[in-house]
Amino acid sequence: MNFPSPSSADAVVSVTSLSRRFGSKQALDDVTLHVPRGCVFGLVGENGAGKTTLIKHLLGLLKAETGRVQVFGQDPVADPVGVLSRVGYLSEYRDLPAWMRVDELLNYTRAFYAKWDSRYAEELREQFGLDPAQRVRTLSQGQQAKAGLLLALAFRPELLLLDEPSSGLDPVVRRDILEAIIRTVAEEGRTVFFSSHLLDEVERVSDQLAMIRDGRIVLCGRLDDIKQSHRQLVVRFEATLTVAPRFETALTLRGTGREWTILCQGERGRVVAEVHAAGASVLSEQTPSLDEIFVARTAERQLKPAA
Amino acid sequence: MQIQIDPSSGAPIYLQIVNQVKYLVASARLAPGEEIPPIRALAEQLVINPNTVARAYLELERAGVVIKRHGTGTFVADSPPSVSKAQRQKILGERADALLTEARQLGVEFEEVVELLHARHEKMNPANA
Amino acid sequence: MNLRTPTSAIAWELWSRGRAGFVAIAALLVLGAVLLPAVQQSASWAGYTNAVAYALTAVVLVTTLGCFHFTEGSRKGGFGSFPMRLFNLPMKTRSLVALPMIYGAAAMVLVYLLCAGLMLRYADADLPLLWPCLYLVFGLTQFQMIIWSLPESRYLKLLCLSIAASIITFGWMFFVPTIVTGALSEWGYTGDPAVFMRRLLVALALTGPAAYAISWLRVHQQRHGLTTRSAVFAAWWDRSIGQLLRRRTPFRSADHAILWQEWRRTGFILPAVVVVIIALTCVPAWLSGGLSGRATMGILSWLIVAPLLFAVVIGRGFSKPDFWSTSLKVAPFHAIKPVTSGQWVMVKLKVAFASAVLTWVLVIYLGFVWTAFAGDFFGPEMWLTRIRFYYSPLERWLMLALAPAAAVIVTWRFLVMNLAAGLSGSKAWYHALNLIVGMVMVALFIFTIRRSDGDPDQQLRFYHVWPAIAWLPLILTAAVTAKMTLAAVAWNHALRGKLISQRAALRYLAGWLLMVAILAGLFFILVRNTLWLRHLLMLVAVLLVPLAGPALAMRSLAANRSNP
Repeated sequence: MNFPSPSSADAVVSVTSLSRRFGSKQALDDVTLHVPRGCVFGLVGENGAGKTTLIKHLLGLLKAETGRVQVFGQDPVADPVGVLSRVGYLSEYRDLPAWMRVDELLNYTRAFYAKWDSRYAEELREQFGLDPAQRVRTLSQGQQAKAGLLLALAFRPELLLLDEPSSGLDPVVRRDILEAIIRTVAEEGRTVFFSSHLLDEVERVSDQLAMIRDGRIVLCGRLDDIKQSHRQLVVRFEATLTVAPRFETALTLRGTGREWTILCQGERGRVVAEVHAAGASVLSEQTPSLDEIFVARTAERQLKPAA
Repeated sequence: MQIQIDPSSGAPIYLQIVNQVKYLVASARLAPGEEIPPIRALAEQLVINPNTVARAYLELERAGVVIKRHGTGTFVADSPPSVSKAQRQKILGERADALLTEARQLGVEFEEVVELLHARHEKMNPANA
Repeated sequence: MNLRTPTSAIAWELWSRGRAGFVAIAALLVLGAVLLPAVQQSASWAGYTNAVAYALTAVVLVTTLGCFHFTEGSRKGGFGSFPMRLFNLPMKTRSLVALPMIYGAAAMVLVYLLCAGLMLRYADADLPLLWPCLYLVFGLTQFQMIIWSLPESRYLKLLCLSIAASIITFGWMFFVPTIVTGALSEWGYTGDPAVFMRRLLVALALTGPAAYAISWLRVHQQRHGLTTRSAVFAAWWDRSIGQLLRRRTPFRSADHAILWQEWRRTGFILPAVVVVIIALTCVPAWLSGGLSGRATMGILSWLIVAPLLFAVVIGRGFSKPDFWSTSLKVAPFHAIKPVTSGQWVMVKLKVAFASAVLTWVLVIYLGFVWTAFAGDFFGPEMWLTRIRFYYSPLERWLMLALAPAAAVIVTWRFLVMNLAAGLSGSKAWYHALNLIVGMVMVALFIFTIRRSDGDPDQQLRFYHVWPAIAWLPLILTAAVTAKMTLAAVAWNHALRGKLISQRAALRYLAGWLLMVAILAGLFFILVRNTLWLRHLLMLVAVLLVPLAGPALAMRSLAANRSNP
């Protein structure tokens, strides 16, 4: 289900019909998305849905089997230097060299990026509370995440790629990282692309959203559009029902007896008409949270078997 | 300016900000001419996307609740927003419908609802006796 | 698959982790069983039966050893230690440690018996069974003990492994009766060799339980977090020498940063290993109160051979993207840096070269020091007289200047020999090439042992290889042509794919020409009279210095980065 997204003309990231297979598993299946400049793009999906695979394609760590990947209008595999010098990356596993000290790590990374801002890096380092003399292997997981984020932010990249930035971190560190990302977004022209399965974060921070399931994009578009097109209805049937009634626009159906909760997507008029046609009345209506939409979307297979 | 937002509630975040600011202005916690935080600062404070804050401020400006002065910042409007009588009736009419429906569902009598309105009005504007 | 007891569970785990290795062993055994009778029957190749049999046996045994290493890498890096996840199981430490050791020992004995039955019986008249089995168990237990007992310090582990590997590689000679009697008489031992050997066998048998005891203790300490002493040492090291090594200033460019990183990680490995091994071999000789001229020459030849030998071994690890990790994939931290694959490969080559230079500087220095203090100058004197006789002073001085450079170049060549395979990220290529290199090394080793042995049946005379030598010019020319063509294609591809800048490519070419000139010059001076040999060696000089290798390595690395 795609909502109209901006044209690919000024897109920072442009993925067209990308597919990828690992042995027998189809990791990505005909993925198409475009990330416009200055946008905060959230990629949402279960573990193993293909988020990390997609991000690796954007960095040139995986070569596109079929389809096309373009970052800043260039192929990241063909021109690694041109693309990677403008991209800041925080990997899910924060693989920093364990033997380096923090100041060595900063000096080392600085040598690669011409736009490195030492003052800003120092400011971030103090803010994150990282001791320059400490070795990376002795840092806690949260500190390693912050160090990784520091390396990705300090040279003010045009595109920030974050793979599960909050995974495995306590709420305090999560908030710190999110604040640092917001500060980056507030600066002009910076694009952020991040994957997460923490939906409240995605809801706070994203402009646009894509939901990926089993390698396929099931939802893509502006966050507001997505939220407005889904609604959660509590309906009351005249007769008691033992079996879930069938609705075309409904994604999930929950309840027993006469009152049922439906989460559906589509035009309001059509949905209400369908409900009335089934002999029920709408008791209440509200916009579901992204969490509920996500769960409904991923549970979709239970409601609509085959076809 | 203390605002709480709940991303998982149904309402869009920008709308929550707009409503809360309107509430603060209406309950005199934000005085006319007072400055509200810049977009960036509020975004960092609430840990939300600055574009959302920008949209909220735009909406508030269009509704005439705040005025953006170039270079200096955004301030609460001195005079209340000018909205046509028909528009006012429409907006409030919708709210009234919702309130009355809820009251009927809960089995509350109309007189009780009027009493409640009086009480809340007094609480909001303690100066007006 | 119904695993009901811990013993069967651990057996299954060992089997499934080492499956590829076991399959390779089976394949090699089958190959040997089929090949050796054919080799022995054939008229022209019969002389090589021994070498082939021993080479295959050695490779099979080393592979078996590798299958039982039973470690798991930790996130913190390093080679890995005893699998920590097993500590949560309701098993006593003594069983946890005993089971892999017992399985390993049993496997080694079994494999050796298979080798003896299938391959070695074509090679030797009398086939020893007892001492090889004891020796192999000794090797396995020492190996496991070292990798389990030193979880924190990867350098220490590497050094101990190198020492152990050296001892194990050469120690078996102490058990071959002919060699032992010769050596003992050389060193002035007057007792009965048979008694000496029996005592040695007893000592060998005792090493197994000793290794078990030490491993048990160390794994017990790791399990219960009692390894605090090493932490104290690590903290002290961090405060003192670690502060000296710490880099405080920014880097001038990305190339410098990568160079520093590679050097810190891998630069000191070859020098450290070579110096430690040499020190360990030279010190006892020194303490024994001076040596005869022949022994001095032996030690000095060892000093010259050791860097080359260890360069080949360490080159296996050097060709990987990260020496200290078992993975062949490039870590994302490095893969996403905006540097071309060509820059990475050039840095690896530079670090290898610097490593080789440092090694030889130390070796030459130690050689002089040792000879001055402990050696007998008679042997070197004789050689020097011969050289003075054959060569003019100018030639001598040139050789003195060129020989160390040539040694460095050859060592460097061995270090970066399989860079393209190691950086490719493909385990198949990497292990296959390692296997081939291993077999060639063992074959050469056997060859030299047999030659120096003076065994009348197996002695290789010049006329045996004359037919091959007649073909050599053609072979070498074809090889040079192939190399040049391959190099042209590979470099062209690398330049077109923007894997390396033109300037860097030209710099490398200039360096290559210089190195070939040095080697060719040395050979030119060395061989005065036999012109055909001199020309052949100059062709060999062209073949020695890697030209296509780096370009192929760049392609491999680019493919590795983009397709993990």
